[in-house]
Amino acid sequence: MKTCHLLINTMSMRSFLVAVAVALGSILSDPTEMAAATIKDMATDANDPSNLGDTEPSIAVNPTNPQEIAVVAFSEPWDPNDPAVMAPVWKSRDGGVTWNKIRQIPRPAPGAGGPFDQKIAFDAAGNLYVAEIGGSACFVYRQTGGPDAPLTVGAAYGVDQPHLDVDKSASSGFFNRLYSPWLNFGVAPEQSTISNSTSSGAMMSDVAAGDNSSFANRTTRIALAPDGKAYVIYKTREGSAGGNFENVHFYVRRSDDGGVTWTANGGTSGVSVHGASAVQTFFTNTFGNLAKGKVARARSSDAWIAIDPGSGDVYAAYVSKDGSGFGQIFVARSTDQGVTWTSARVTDGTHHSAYPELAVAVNGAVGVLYIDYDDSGASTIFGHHFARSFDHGVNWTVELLQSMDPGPLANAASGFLWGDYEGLTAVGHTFYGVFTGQSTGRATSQLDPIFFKESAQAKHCPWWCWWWCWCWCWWLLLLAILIFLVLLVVWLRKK
Amino acid sequence: MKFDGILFGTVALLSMASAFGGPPEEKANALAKIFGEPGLWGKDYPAALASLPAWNRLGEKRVWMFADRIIGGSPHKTREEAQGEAERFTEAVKALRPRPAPKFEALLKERTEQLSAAKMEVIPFFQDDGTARIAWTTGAQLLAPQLNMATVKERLGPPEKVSTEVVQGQGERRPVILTLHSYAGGAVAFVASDMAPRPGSVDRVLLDVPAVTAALFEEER
Repeated sequence: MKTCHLLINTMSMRSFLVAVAVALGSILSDPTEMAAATIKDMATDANDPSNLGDTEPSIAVNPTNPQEIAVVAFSEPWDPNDPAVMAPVWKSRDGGVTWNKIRQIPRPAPGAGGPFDQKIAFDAAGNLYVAEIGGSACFVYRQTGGPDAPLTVGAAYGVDQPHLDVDKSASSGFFNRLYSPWLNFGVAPEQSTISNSTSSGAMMSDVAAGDNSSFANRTTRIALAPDGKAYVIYKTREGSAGGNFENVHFYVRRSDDGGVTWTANGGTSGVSVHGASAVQTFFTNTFGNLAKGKVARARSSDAWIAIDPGSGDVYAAYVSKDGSGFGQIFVARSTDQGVTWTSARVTDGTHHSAYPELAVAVNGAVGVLYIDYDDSGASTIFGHHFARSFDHGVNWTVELLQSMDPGPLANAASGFLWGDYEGLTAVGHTFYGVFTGQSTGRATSQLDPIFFKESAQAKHCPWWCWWWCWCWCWWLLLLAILIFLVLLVVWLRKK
Repeated sequence: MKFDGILFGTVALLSMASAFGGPPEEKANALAKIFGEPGLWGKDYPAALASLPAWNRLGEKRVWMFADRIIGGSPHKTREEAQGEAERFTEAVKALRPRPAPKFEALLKERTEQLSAAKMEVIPFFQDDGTARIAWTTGAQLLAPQLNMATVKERLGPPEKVSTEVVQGQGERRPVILTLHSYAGGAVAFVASDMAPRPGSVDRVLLDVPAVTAALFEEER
């Protein structure tokens, strides 16, 4: 009996030591699992008293001061009949801890309603730009006064879904050139088009970029490399694949001349990032399960592009239904300026996933924000996820940012829950994102713009961490030996 | 057998009544209350109501009454298609001799001049969905200035139904999200839009053309 007792004691101690070693080992060998994003509901009852939906958010971080973060979402519109009533830009000047709405986007023209689609960016000097649809045209607003002064509207251009970026690289040859991709419904079939401007949007030059000779284009996104090369991803819609899916190619085209032409990486359409065969992606107004709650629109919510600011490698995120039977998120990488591509799956093949946004940090870490849904229960649960890769997109660590059932949320309109896309960017060693999710701390539970921030660095243990662990291990070992000796002495005396 | 026939007839009548939101007289009374509330309407709204038989003859199922004009509910692919529809509307107005129902006679009589003074326009790009629409423009005041949902509820009581409509266009433009506060079995809905600069304001009023026309005009029943 006593022997048994001692055995249990020594076994317990051994188990304890093994458990400690395993825990420390797992932490040190797979440190990415330790990650957890900082998440903040930007809206409060004070700054959002009308409980607006705040959908389709995009985000930009001031490169001269990363504490200054700007977001546009579908919050208050401007008044088409009163230039004094302006649409807001959400701003934080403390790294995302507190947020205020600065009303600085006036109507672009008398009678023009909006904002409709929008995207936000900073230039290298920290000046703010916003692309907007107002009425039936697109406009780039630029900062010409103080940071919170009304923005100045530029020339009318474009038709639908304008995006935006500004060349921030002083050595690129196209420093401060502004690019805005959009979808041209004025031609048949519709065509991906990219406007560029050397005057911060005051004047715009439209350049057709997508190949619409056989199929309509859609989902046009842009990324700018530090060497001045510009990349655009778009899809060609090649017919229904049944259900919520259609056959597409996702092509990347490159411009080496500041957006004047888009044929630098060859091919009549560009280069397909997934090879010659078409893939199947969502084209639906019912992303989700209509029988189990509210659903979302996913028609141009399937591609994104970003550049590694260090190496210049190009990354493209896209949606493809694979052998799992689910629409999945893939990321392709090109190390030769968009000529050849290698793909890896980000998601795990267990749920339909879409709405990828992509960013690459200065250390080459890649981040993807995406949404999936689970309809195995009584209602459809949508999940916002953030995936990171620290090995150039080969392996991915995914964290769940938020799960949400939009059913009970009064301002969640079935058919357009969070918009066509959301926001993700990277500055330095940090990813900054925004999504439309379920509120926290509000009197009325609702959709709100949710900001998140996540490190782009794997949580490798620094030297002091190793030293600390080493000391603890020795202390635990000594303690175990001491206990063992005490128990041994007690046992011998009694014997 | 006779009992079966009576039962069938009763069920059919009840079904029809429920489909149209209640018996015709009940609906007419509800509409009389709605259109009789001066705090909800602009001074020229009776002329807009007088145009409903013309919309009805065009086959429009519903129209949107904004502060200064009525816009047809049917989208048109091209400006030319809408132009043809506008001309048909103008012809329909000329041929109109609508006789108001007794309950609405005081409201609608002597509106013919205003009716013919109004003009049809084609809106090549309706901001809801980017389609072409036809609009009946009076240059007048159809809704009460600064009308909001609080006033509507104060005057008419809580809506019978509140529903959301997401207006999806062909492209990827942000859809307008409308919140419909329905009265009179859905014949009239006061609509808030997420694009309205003042949250909670009434952006427009939806009129169910066949239902309202049938209640307001004798020969349209």
